[in-house]
Amino acid sequence: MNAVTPSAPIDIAGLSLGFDGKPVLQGLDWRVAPGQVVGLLGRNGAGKTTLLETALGLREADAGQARLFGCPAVALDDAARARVGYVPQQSNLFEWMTPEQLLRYFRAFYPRWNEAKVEGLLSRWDIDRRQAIAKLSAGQQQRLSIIRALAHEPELLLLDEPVASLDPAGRRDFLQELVEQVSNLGTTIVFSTHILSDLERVAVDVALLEGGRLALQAPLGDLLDDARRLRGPSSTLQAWLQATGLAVLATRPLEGGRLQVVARVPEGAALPAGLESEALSLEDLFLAVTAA
Amino acid sequence: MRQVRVIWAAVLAERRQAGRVWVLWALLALLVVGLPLGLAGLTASMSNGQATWPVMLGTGCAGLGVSLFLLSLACWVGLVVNAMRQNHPVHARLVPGHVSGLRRALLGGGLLALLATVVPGTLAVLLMPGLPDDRRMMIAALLAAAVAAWPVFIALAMRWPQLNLLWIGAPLLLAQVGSLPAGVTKAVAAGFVAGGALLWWMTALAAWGAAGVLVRAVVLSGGPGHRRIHARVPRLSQAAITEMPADAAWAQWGLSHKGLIHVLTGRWLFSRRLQAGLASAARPSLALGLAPELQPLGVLASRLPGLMLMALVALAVGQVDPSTPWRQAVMPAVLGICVGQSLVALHFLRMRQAVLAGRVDQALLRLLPGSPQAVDLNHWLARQLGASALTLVGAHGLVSLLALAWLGEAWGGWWMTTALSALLVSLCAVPALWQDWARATPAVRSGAAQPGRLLWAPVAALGLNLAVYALLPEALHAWWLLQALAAAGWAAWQWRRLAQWPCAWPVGHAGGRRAP
Repeated sequence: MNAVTPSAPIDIAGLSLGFDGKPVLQGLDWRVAPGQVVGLLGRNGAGKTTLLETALGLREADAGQARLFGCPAVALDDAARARVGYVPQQSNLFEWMTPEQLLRYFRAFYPRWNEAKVEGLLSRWDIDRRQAIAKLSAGQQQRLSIIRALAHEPELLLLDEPVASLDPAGRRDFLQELVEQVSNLGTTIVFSTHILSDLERVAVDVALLEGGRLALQAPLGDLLDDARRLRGPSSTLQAWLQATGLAVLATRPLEGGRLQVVARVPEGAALPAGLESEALSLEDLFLAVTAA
Repeated sequence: MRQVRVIWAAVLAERRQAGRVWVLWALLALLVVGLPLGLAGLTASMSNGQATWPVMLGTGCAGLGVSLFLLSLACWVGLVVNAMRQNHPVHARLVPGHVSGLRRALLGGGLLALLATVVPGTLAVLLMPGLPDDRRMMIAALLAAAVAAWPVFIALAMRWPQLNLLWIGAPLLLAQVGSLPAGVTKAVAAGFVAGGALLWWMTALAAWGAAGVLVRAVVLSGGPGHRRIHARVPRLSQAAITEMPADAAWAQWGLSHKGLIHVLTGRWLFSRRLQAGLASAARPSLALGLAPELQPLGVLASRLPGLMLMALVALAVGQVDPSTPWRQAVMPAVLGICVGQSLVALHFLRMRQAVLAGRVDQALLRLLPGSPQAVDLNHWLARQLGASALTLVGAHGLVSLLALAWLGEAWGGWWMTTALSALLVSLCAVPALWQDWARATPAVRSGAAQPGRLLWAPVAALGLNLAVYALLPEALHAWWLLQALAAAGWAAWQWRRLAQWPCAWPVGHAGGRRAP
């Protein structure tokens, strides 16, 4: 279990949550450091949305605790709330308002509001300020949701599949904005996505949710450098893994007494004779770990 | 204050999106100016010019109080519904000061609504002639205390609709109070009267304080259950704006595995009925695709809770001694509800909207083998709508007439005649549901955009029936017969037109627009 660090934007310890007796999160521990950009991966139904919602205090856990900036997530004070931005998967915008009215509405609640950024994004993303939100397209609503979350310059930004409704140009603009947000303000960002190429362009760290726990959390660059698919005689491979103590991410037996393992192998590690090694893309790694 | 301003502005923004704001302003002006002036003028004319200025002023103030009360009621309902929509669980948890802002906005709105009612009401009481000064003060304070309850109850009942069951409990409770020994009630009343102005106004203040505390509960803070409760809010609002079936949820529950219809008919009977009905109609896919409001069983499931509530209220009121002042006071309201329920034709508007809301799915279901096509489909849908409408008329009519009879209303009396006329008008309006659905357009904004004939025509027809009853009572039955014959002719003509209209759900409707 992680030690509680009051300043950590997200600090989750022993989090468990289930629906109708079916566990979704099982004793999950997770800490996100200030300024970290984390891409949260997982198959459909793995519990990514549940994890983000519980981290924000939108769901109450069966066991364990989530803290944001040291405050219990279910009882955030106003100061902590002002430091958090969230873009949910399903729009929670007030559809009867226009974008202009909506942004004016939320501006009244935040002590800090970057009007120049709002104006810039509205113009750049071509959102009609006077059109009722209900009449905007799903992509435009998604963009507006992002603008709303960025406007008060949060220190922690959580985005649940933010690019799901965006076209390629919209995704590019959005990713560019995220990069600027990180480089200018040092914002901590956690976002879930299925589009791995986007994640490779932005995320510094990758967290992979599987079986109710984080099966993997590591810097993306390290993962792409280290992750290897190893194949060879089962006895040789297992003996070598035991001797080196390497982290095994997935294992699959093959025919003829052979074994396939996905593991993080440091650069320059000498492989015994008879073992084959193959570099993995993020997609291969995702499939290998989630199929285990 | 800035937060309260934007929250109130959000309510106005919703109103503006609904459109036709000028109609609203015109109605408001008519209400606020017309009613007090009309009442003052009526007082003057009825007293043959004997009424003094204070009397006319008092009557005018009373009229102003009534119109401001109605205005406050409408504004308050709008504010509460919109505040509940704004009270999204995510914002409640993550937006700083959102919950407290909403609570302040509701408290402020409630206070304005109360003041708008109390100030002219108090003025009217203070200007009322023939009352001792201490009585004036006491009545004014009691009025202030009593009106504190209405915004609170409306707000809480909109958030938790099950509180509406109090409409049953309250008459019973009041009946119990009425049955207390006269000595007790007299002693309490005497104590209150003797308490003096301080006690009276402290009572009013306590009522307002309690109201403020309770109103805060309408705004939830994102805890467990908020998400579930909030999911109901759009449905409520949608029903208010677009006349979508407000009780479709009841109907779904009624038809569900453990629902009301199952309980009443038995699971076995219901399953057999459903299977037989669908098989004999040989239209399984389309029938299943229809909204509950458009199926006779669904109509029963959705209507039974409301009708049972009405029957229980009538039963409770009927138990009270007719000579008690309380019963005499509530009787017009109860009878009005019973008669109002008889004008079923107003519910046809919802059925129309349900047909339009489901047409995209129906256009796809129509592609399945065995589904009727073209004229067959038009006739099948007309039969389905006719059966549902007749079920609606039958259920409402039966309960209304039984309730009126239980309450001692005689056949041939004003209330019973009104109810029967309303039922006949509703029956005659059934062919209005046989429309050219291929070219009908859903109302996308306000209920006012609905086809007027389904709204005003039944009311006007009922008015005509009552006029005949008032002026030529002996000709009423002949008039009813004439109406029935005219409706039968209209139905036959509409049935023939169904064969000429295009198919109700052309496949091209798959790209059509749904009602929001």
